[in-house]
Amino acid sequence: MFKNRILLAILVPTIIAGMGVLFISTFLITRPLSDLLKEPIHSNLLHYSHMGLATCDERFSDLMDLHLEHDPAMNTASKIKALEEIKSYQIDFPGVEIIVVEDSKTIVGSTFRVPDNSLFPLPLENNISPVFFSQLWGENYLLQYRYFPFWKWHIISLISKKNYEAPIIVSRRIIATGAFGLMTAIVLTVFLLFKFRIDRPLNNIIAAVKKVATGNFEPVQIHKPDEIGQVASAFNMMIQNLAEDQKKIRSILSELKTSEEQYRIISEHSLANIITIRGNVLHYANRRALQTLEYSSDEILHVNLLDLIDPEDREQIRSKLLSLEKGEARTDHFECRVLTKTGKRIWFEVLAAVIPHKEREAILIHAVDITERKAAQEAAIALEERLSRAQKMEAVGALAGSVAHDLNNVLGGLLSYPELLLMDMPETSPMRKPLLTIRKSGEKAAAIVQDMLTLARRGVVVTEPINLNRIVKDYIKSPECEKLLTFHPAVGINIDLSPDLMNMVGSPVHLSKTVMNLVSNAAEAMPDGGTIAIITENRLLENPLIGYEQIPPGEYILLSVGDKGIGISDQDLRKIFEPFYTKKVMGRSGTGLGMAVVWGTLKDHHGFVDIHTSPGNGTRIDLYFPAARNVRAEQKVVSDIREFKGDERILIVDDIEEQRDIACRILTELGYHVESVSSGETALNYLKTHRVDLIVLDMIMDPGMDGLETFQEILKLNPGQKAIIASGFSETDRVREAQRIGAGAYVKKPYLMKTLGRAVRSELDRKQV
Amino acid sequence: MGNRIFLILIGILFFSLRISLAAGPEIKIGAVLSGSGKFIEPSEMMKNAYLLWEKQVNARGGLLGKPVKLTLYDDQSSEEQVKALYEKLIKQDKVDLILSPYGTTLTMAASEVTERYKYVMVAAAASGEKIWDRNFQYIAGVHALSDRYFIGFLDIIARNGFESVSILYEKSEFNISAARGAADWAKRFGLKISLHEGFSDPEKELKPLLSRVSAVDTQALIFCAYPQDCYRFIELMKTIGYRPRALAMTIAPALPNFPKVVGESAEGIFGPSQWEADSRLPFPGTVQFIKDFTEFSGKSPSYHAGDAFAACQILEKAVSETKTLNQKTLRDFVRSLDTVTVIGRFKVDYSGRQIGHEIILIQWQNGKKEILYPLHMKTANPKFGPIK
Repeated sequence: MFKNRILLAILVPTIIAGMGVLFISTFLITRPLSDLLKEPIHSNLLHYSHMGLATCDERFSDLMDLHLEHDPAMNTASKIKALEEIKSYQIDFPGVEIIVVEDSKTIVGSTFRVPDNSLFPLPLENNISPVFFSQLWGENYLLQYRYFPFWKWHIISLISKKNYEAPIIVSRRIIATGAFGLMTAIVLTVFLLFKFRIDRPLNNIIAAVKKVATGNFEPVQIHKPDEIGQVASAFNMMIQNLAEDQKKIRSILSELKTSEEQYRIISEHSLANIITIRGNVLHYANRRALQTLEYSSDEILHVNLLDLIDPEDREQIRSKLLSLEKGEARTDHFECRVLTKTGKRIWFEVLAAVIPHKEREAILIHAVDITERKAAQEAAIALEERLSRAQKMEAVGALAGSVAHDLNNVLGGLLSYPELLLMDMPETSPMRKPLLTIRKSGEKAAAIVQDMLTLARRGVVVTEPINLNRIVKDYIKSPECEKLLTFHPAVGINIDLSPDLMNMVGSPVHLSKTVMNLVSNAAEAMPDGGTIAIITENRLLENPLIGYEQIPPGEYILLSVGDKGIGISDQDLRKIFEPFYTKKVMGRSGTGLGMAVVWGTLKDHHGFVDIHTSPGNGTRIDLYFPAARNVRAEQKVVSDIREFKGDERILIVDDIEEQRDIACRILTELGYHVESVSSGETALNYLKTHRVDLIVLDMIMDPGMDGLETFQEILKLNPGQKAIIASGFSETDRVREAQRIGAGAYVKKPYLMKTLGRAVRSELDRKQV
Repeated sequence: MGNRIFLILIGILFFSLRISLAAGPEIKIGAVLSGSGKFIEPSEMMKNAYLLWEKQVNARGGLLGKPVKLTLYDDQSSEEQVKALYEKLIKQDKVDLILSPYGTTLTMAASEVTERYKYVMVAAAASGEKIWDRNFQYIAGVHALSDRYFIGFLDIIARNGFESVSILYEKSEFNISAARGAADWAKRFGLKISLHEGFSDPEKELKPLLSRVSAVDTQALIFCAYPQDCYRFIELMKTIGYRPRALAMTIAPALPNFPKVVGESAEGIFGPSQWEADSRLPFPGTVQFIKDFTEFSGKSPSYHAGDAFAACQILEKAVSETKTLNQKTLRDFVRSLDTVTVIGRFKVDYSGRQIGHEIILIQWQNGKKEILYPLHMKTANPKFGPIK
């Protein structure tokens, strides 16, 4: 705004300082000066009144000496004399007046004119008063009283305020004028000196500087070798250097710009998320980071990095950042989960390094979004786990199957012969009880074998339409359930079955076994008692359900068995379906195959499992079986063994002699005409010459043709030949293939009268389509 | 011419005869003082002053070339005794000169005798008014009159804003005179008199009097009495815790041992004094007298001593100047004399009343007497008690 700012900068403080000096000097000088001037005035006032009083005293003394103090004439004369003397002293006290007033306020004399017939207007005191200001007849006066009691005179010296202050005012004016003049002279001198010695040369330099600003490096003309001249000389040197430096700077700037542009492009277009932090606070985030974290550039600044870290990883990251800040490490490489602004969790692979940044240290972070990779890794791990588990189950199953097949053949005799013997044995025979015990043990062994076979997934027939509610209800009514509840009196069962539960295709026996195992485990999990909840319902999964397994979308029948028991630890949960993995007391219950059988059954039924458990809060096991919407459940008919009798011709084809013998005896017992052969080839030969109504065909025969091949050849020989399939293993594809081409029911070994009789009779009675 | 020579010779003979008569073995001077009774204290001061003067005048060669012999008797503060003893001095002892007793009462009594025998009495210690109303021819006063005792006190309190004063007095000639004068001057100075009462029997009357004065609204109190009554009154005031802003008393405060008698109560009390043993006083011989008296008696002189010594100075001056012991000559000389003694101016009127001497007002301040009045002689400013 002002052209001559330096001049102002010099003049303003000079004026202010001058004003300050003026005021201070006025204050410092005028006050003592005023006091000095006031002092004689006060002194004069006091002195004059004192002189007045002393005069009165002298006159009084005269009267006393003469003992004429009571003489009125003498008193009057003395008073007149005293007044004259008092007035005469005024010449010695310039400006000071005296007035003598009686107690009645009558003015008896004064050195100045007072209003006619007026009384003294101020109150009077019989004392020596201090010097004081008061208004008297419209004017301000400084007064002082003295009292002369003999005549009751108040001798008052006074000076008008105007006279009193006149010397003070004059002295102040002199000082102020002097100080102001001095200040003006200083300011003027400073101004002129500045104008001619500084401003003009400086303007030349300013003009030169302006030219320099426009790129014209023209030197300044130097007039005098004074300070300004030296400045001009230095300026000339400077602009010479500037001209050279400008070239260099332009070159450097160009390089710098290019470099900065490159860095900016690299950073802003980097696929990595780049951020810098100092003291955990974000100071920079590239475009990628902003996009990933869903923040704007303004929002991200000053955000604490730890606030972006998933709480589960926060302490670990805090420790790593602290280590970097302390210099314990210069770089670090880690993975962590980060929360975006909207709460989305992202996996970052992070490279962190300590870098110098703005004269301090900061941490530069390169982070890559590895969420998908992490998901893939987790999926792969889960898959691998499942695969491993499946393989493990498969291997165990194969082993169990192998063992069970052989055991099953052995058990054939153990089960069948007691049964046959018992049929011919009178009820009173002492052998009957041991035989029953043998048969019961055999049945138990057979059950174990069946579990093992189920485990090997070779024996479950899943072709039967089933309503799972019936399975559950049948189980609840079963002796096994009754026995279980007897064993666990504090345990109750609560069922909640969906009335419109869809049907499924499966094996009632195995499903019943599954329910039993789950309930048994639930009861075992509640040593202090509780309620087991069994729920069935239709469940439609529109999206994959990630649980214990990944369950694909579809319609499912859900069987849920829950307890409020001890729960299952993570460690146990992974192994729960492994054969012979049990937490139960061995020998008291279970075979260690219960959950393995459940798993086997589930998988035979193409189902899935999900488990909800936590230690101490119980467990709920949800089994998902594929629903068979259009399949009607078969009404089960309980038949008497007599219904299985017949007289048709039956050929037994089995490679194991004991099995052939048992089957022959059972069917012979039922009235059939039975022949048996030991292989498929023998059977074909036999059929070339004989006709039979039904063939009981063992599926697995070694060596030679198996059951399917044999049946295929028989059909070639005798199309429409009825046959049922028997096997120690569970239902297999070859069994199903045999059934597809015409074979009837599948009978699981060992041969039992009821199962074999029912299958034979059923197939014989089935009409050919 | 022969007759003239004869007359001259006769004159010389007569003069020589006078000289020879006067220049006897000694000049006898008699005085009666109170060796007991209520006037003993001031009388003791006067006695020492008389004896000091006797010593000094003899040291100077005596009077008229003769040694001076002083005869002193004790009147026991009794008027009858004083009369009888002065009669004895004149008739039996045939003294040439007499010196006065102490106090107005005794001086009045004694002067009746001296007047009858026409002996000049320079009354050293009498200020009562009535003395001078008897038209006695052979008496002259040294003291200022008692009715002027309190002018200074009243003037000072009037100048310092006091508005009221009470006056109590013993009904003796001196004190009645002092109290009356105080009352007159109080009016002159515009002061209101709150109480003005006298008493005869201090034993009975002082206490109720004090009750009355303490009950009235008075700022200052004047107590006119001889020292013993003053002491009693001060004690009574102390007992009831009463003290006006300004208290003035006759005689007692002027005595040097006043603080010893009344203790701290002395502080601030005003008192009129005919003279003060203060070396700051401007009169010729004062300083020397104070020194000599103190050395002679072992005590500082009171105004009674000063007055007595002044009376001696006047008598000496009269004899020395007139060179005679003729009482009429001496009377005429004394009555016309205007001189300055160790206590100040001496000048009497036609009645022998002292009109040249000024009363001094003193106040006990910090255990010592300060002169406050006359103002041109003051050694300190007055101090007053707190305003109630």
